[in-house]
Amino acid sequence: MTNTIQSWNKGRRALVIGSGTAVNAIVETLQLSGANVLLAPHDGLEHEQAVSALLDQARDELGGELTTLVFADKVVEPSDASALTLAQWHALTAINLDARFFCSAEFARRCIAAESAGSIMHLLSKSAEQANSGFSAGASAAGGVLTMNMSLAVEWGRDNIRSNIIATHLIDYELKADDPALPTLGNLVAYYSSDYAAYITGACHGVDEA
Amino acid sequence: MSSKSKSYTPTPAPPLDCPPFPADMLKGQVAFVTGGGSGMGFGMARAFAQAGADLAIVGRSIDRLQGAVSKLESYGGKVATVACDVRNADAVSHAFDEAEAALGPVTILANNAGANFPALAEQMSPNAWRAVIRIAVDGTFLCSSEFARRCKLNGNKGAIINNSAQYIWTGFPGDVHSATAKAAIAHMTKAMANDWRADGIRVNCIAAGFFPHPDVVGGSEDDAIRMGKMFPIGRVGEIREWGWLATLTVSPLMDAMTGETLMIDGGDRLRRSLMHEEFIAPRERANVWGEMPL
Repeated sequence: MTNTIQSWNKGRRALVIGSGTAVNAIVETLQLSGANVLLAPHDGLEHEQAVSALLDQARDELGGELTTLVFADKVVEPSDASALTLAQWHALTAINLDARFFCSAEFARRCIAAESAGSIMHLLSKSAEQANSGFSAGASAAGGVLTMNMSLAVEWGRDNIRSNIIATHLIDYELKADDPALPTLGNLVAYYSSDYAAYITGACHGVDEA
Repeated sequence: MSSKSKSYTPTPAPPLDCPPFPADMLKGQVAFVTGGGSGMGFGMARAFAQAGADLAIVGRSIDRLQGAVSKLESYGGKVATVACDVRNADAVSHAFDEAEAALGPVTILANNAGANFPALAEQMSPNAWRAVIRIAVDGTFLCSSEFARRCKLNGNKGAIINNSAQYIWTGFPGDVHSATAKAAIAHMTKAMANDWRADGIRVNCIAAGFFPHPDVVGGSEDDAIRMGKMFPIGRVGEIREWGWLATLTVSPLMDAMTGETLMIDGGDRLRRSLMHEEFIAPRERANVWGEMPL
């Protein structure tokens, strides 16, 4: 029995934004499925100029404009909502909400200009669906992304740019690199990034969130 | 005040002879597919066969299953046809006996059997309601629980995939029976996933959009093109991409996924605009489900 994934993303150019073992597993699986991948941290992406520069860098390093964007939540420490300053609130929502929009829009502008298809995958915290105490900023950002995903799926559907979400506990904390759930997450992202998922857009689900 | 969109070319589904999985990925597994002789059930059965599974295709009439056998056998696995009314617990148990006698223990279950027709709620007879609810809800429950008992007894892991629909989050007029049934299946998925996680039995669900086939409205090529204009993606779904997604969920590639409802609908679930055409009460419409674009 062969359980290897096939060349679902052969020739694709993917930018993965985030860090941690779950993100690393996604990068490895995208590469196994044939994609050239650039992994980048969240640093500075709340500023649109940094987003444009990062996509230029990805284009130059990967040999062409991106076909695939994966944006994973930046994991943050819990903080009581009553103790959050406005500056802290802005910092938390800027990276997990504003930066997602800036990256998605810049990615789509380039796909539309090149008349090429694209896939956007948002990796969200489980708090997207089940907000926990201590994460008011993260949960608010995640809730916003849930609906942003649906709006963008409609706006860009005819451009063959798809937008989907995996909302999972697997990115809420650091897992061991051999965690048995990580291959499933990687495989899911790789499949959704490929043309085998060409009819999937505006979707959101988890891995085992019950 | 709508403007005509320019011409776009949707990304097609990869061709049928380029499945996303190795031909032996499900080798040695036996899949029990209700309603597996036609339509979406056949789509799942064919995709399982492409990945190497043996198949029990199940339906009320053996005659309706026979036409699918040679097509499915062409992928190299064994295929058994099993007559069963999934609303009847004894019949379900007997069908599993028959399938296992022919093929060995069942390790994959696809709950696909269902029914649907337009009917206004206030005009719907109790029998019309029961016709849809009992096949979809009772049938999914009876097949799933029978499957899980046997997996536990044999010490086998198992995977279930349930067929749901893109309208379970919104409902729509003229479809209260199916919308209710399909939403019940999505929640049954979560509940059973919790019940059987420790036994290695995974349960997932796919909420599907329009996947026309000859048995339904939109099954002709012309209808499919017209219908495809309704969706953000710009086309209808292809049965093969539905089948492949179902195969992904029951495969070892998704070993850690359970209790989830995936969606494949070309964006049909999503709201298309803020303003809409004038609302016409469903009972005043020529077609309660609405009209396809020209």
